[in-house]
Amino acid sequence: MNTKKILYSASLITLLYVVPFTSTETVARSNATSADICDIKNLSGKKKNSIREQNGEIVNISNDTKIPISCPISRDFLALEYNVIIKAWNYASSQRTFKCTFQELDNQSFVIRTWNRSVQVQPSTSGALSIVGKQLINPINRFHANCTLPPGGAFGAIFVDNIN
Amino acid sequence: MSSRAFLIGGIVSVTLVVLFFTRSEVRIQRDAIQDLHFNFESLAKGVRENAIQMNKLTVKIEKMGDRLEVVSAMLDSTDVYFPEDDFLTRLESMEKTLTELSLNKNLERESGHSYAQAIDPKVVDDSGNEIYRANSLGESIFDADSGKPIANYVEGLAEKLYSSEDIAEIADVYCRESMCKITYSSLVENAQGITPKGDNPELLERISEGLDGEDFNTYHARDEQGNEVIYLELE
Repeated sequence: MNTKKILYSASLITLLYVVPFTSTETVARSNATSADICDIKNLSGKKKNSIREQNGEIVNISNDTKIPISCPISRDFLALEYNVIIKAWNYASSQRTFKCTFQELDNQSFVIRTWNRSVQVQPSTSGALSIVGKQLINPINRFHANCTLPPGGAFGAIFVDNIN
Repeated sequence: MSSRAFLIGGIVSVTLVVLFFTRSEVRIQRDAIQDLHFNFESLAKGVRENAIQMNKLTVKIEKMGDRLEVVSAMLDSTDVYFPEDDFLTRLESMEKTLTELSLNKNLERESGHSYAQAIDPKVVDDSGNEIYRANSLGESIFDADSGKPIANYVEGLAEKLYSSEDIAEIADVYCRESMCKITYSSLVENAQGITPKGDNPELLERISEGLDGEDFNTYHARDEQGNEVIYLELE
């Protein structure tokens, strides 16, 4: 019995020493960008006045117009996997649906593939549109996001986790 | 007489006791001296071993000194070899290939399918317009057909797509268990010259409506006839 106790103790102590050195922990470096880097797509005149950029946010201040916007996504070149998260806010008085098409573009700006995501956000709360653990087909490709801002909706920030 | 005998006996007794203790003390001292001797012997042995190690260290330092002289002589001479530009280019190319191979492995892990090439073949005409563009990843996932079932949405999807005359001329919608292959000619891109190329947000919006707002993924290609191709799967 004592021998068993000694063996268990020895194993436990060994594990406590060894496990921290052998774990395959991934390293993520995150960066955040204000969503006011997003640009309005194919809009002019009255509709263009529906957008306001304030405090780093891009806000659709209209009551009835959905605004398509285009967001560049910056990333670390050498990471193997990426998480991209866009934070959405609903300033309207009723539920809103936010949509984003995350694209992988090649070096000639051809669309290679897309991930189409949507989220419903209650009034005065926030939600997130995200793609998780994505790898580029070619390291020289890039991410881009085309999103739709509903009336009273805003995008606050774009987060990118670069995972090695 | 008896008192004298008693006195002598006492003296003898005291002497014996003193002798006993003295002898014990001598024995202790002797043991201590023996221990000391043993310690001195160990110390001497240690010094001898250290001397051997010191000698070895001295030899090593001398050898390093010799090597340092050789290296110094090489650096002084003009015959030192530096990699040529060509060598560096080849090294860079090998590094790039290794990165691509590594990415392919990761993609295989992500998709669960074999993915042969990181860079898909393209055919571009004299004006730089793309005629043909493959998407190996999309094709392999379409062939494997092992994702989330899409059957419940096929009818609504086809209805939405075929009623999109304003944005695309649908040539074919072919659905398997989990994926659909949509072949079409884009009217929007030609009309408005949207960039990025192959982007058709209006068509993706129709697809989203056809899928009742479900999240989905697409893989884009262009076939030999110049038609746009979308491989579609549910997230």
